[in-house]
Amino acid sequence: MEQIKEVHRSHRRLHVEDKLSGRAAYGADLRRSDLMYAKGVSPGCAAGRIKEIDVSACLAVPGVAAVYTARDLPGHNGFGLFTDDEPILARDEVKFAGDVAALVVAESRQAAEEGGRRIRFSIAPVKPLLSVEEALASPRRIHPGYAGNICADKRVVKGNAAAALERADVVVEETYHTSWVEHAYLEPEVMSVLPMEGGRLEIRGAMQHPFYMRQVVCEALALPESQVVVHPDVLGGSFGGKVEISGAMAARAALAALRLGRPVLYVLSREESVAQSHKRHGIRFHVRLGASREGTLEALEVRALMDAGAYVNESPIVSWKTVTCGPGPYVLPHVSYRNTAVLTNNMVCGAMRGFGTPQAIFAMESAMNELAQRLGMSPTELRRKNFLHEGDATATSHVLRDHAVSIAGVMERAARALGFDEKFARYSRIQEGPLRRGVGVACSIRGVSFGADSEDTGRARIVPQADGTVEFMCPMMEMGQGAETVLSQICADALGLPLERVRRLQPETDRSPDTGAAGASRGTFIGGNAILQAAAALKGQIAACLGAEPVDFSQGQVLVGDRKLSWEELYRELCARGKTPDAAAAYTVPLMPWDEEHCQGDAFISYTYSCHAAEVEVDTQTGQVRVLRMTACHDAGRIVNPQMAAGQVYGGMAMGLGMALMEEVEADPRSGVIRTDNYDTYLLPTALDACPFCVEFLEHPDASSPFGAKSLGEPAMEPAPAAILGAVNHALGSAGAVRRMPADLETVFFAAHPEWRGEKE
Amino acid sequence: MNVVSYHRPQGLDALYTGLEAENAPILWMAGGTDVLVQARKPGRFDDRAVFDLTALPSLQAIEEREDALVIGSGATHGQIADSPLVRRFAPPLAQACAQVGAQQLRNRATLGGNIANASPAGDTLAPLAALNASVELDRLGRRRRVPLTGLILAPGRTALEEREFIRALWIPKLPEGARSGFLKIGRRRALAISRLTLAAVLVLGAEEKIRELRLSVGAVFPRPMRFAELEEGARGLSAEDGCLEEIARALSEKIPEIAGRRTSTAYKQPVCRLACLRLLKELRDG
Repeated sequence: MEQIKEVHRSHRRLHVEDKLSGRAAYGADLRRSDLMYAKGVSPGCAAGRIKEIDVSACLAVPGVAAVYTARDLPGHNGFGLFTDDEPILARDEVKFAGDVAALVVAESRQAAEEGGRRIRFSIAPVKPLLSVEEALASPRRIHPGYAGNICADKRVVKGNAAAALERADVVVEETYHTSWVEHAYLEPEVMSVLPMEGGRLEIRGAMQHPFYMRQVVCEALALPESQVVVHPDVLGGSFGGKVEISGAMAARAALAALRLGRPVLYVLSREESVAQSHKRHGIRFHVRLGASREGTLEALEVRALMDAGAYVNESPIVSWKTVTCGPGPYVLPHVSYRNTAVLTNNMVCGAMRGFGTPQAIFAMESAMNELAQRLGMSPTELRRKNFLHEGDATATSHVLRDHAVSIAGVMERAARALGFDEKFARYSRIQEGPLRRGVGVACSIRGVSFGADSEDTGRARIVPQADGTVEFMCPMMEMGQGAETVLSQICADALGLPLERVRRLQPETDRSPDTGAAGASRGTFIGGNAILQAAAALKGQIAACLGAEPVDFSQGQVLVGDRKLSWEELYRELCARGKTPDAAAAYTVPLMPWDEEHCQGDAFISYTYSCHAAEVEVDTQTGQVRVLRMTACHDAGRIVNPQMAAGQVYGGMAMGLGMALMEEVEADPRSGVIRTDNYDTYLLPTALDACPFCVEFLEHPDASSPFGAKSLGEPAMEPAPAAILGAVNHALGSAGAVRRMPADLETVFFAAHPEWRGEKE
Repeated sequence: MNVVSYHRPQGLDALYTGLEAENAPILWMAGGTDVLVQARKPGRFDDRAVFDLTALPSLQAIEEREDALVIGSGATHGQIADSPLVRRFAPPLAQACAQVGAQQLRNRATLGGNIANASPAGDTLAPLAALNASVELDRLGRRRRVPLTGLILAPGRTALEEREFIRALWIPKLPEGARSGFLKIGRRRALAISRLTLAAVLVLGAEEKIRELRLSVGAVFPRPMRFAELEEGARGLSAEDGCLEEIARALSEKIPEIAGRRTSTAYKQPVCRLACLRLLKELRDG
């Protein structure tokens, strides 16, 4: 019997007092008298062969204990969750300016830094390939396995888009650009490794996937997994960024800790973090969108190209998400959507909240706005006409039958909250003066969890205690998104217990089962489903032990056959029969029909529907944009914790605002070295740039999801940049005024004054 | 941060004594908001003796004299922004100070520091130049006064002599009926390094004839500048739209003339023109 008491309530975030009072211990707060400090050192050039690394001057620095290079690694020198082609320590070759080739370990941070400056790299330079065009044209392969430097080439092929575009009454054909974006977590990457009794190693620090830390360390050091335990510290932001880089750092620090027998702390400076960490891909989209005169979409053809950077990393699956989610929540009879990822000697791109979709949504929604303008329709009118409904097929030909396909209602709510239709009409009239207003709207369909291209399993373990409370393990990392609280609420309802009687053990790798990364908007869905499975397994255990059925949990009691037991009684009774209650189980997303070559089939088990709307004021004399108000509506199924969910969306909109208007990682086009290496030059929105955010949820509990709760982490952010760009363009009087992000001062000013258009700096 | 020595004198006499006894080159520290950031670069100040001016209360006063406002170099941007005296007699400076960085920065960063740092993007420089500010300098007790536009020579370079520091800013009170304003264009609404700042003083006579015009642009030229021929040429003209447009155009044409044609010129020149026109119209229309 499903009972909902703790789910769907705005419980206060667990352990929030620790963060508010400053008690929470982050990775860099580690204090030990015997601590050593590590620093990774990069040759700093984008491409070259390493001839020699001279460490003698470094070792002469007082306090420097050791320098390690690739030759010191006993095991596998590679990291990456899906493609492990990035070296933990670069050995023979430098492929981008953030490659780390040596690790200095010293008694103090200062000595480590001084030592790092004294390492002499002898490099035979190679001309770096610093653009997609150069890399595609070059005979040189950055990675021997990828001809033409193409490391991913995903495509959705449904029907015949080219032929349908020939027949279409109206075709919008435009190119859209997005830039490299930084995760910009407040806490830079930090890992520490502490030798334990018996030769084991304890890994601590900021991480998104504890089991992956263990895997990288064990592979790199050729250790059995039993020799390593991971205890994550409180995490100061991640957004997809602290999965792999953290693994490489853990492996480097573990090498030092193992050799020196001392605890090692390894913290990146902001500049190092920017230089070494993975980025959101900048993508160029060439879009052709065709429709009938009445505004019925007929075909979409997208040719996207993205710079993967120096290593493959997660580019193939980012590419996959782009093509499967990029076509948006619309009925499109013919789709050809192709995204090619190209290796270059630039910064490495990988996972970041949205995984390629904020860029794709910007391209698609911009094209929709341009089409609406051509047809003399409003943005909402065109969308209304083309939304997916139950029984329709997505771009991957997934016929949507098993859940509420609610995008139409979702858009109406977000649009109404902004007063979109009235404001669109009003601001479309001639506006006097330099300050112009505009409104924009953007919709998205996002698959829940990984999707059909990846195996997707979560695990949980439930351990009832003698005092009637229950401990559970489901090491989905708390990254600020509220996983700890939300999973505890789900576990409480799965067991019919009040929240106070359920306690999640902090993630670690000795006793917890591996539940995978807190990523891909899978925390609630996968973690919650795994907890439900573990609760079912516990029922089975109780039934088998007590020889009675059915077993159910309700209102703080355990129903076994026709008996009612308290949890204390249950524990005693099981123990009396020689059994300690302890149930673990896995949940795996069922295999779905899927043709990977054409990306056709059931791409995801379910989908979250989202819409953001924005109102802006553009100063046409300076290019300054002020976002006045944003509204959002999401159908993420039943919302487990409404207040924390709204918090996710506020953060998502603020993040999208930065991407839309100011955030851009800039690299020197000749050296590949990142220029925006700290937050004085890489601009993030401040509280003064934020605006009133209004968040609504349209809740259709989802049958495949735990208590009906689907994904929200990435949907909360992905439509925001497109909504803002739509509003900027509306204010500028033309849906195609700006076709690049960020829409910074110069971009907006020149869009308003094409007569003065110059080269952007 | 490694330095030769650190001094925090409690009075001017102690400051002079300390300076005379110190052989190393001096690093003045006022609010520290630039020094401490620059100090992250290893070895940046290894050879310097730091003189921290924060314990000299006489440097923090904001006082009204007969025809001038005297602002101690140690006054923070926050104090200046909130000062009724500055708001009354030098409004563009108060406006500029209120927009620098963010509150935490404004609580520490000083006016003297902003000048000595001599960044072309320093937000107080354009208003100070437009307000005809002069700078009172002190070298071991010997004082002199120089115009602000003469003190800053180039980005990061001033005419300050060895062991000389900024004691105060002298700002002549604006004439009766003067209208003045400041505007800043940044990439975000706080913590923004200015793309362009503009300060203006306008005094109108009978029939809206321009009696006095002062203009200064920041974040554009290597040092704070005024253009005498432009300002003189405006005297006596009628402040009608066409005339203000001409002034704005002439000002914006100084950008390629002085700073050379850079990639940023394509943006800054037209924006300077439009922003200047907007500010002048606002001042004219009161």
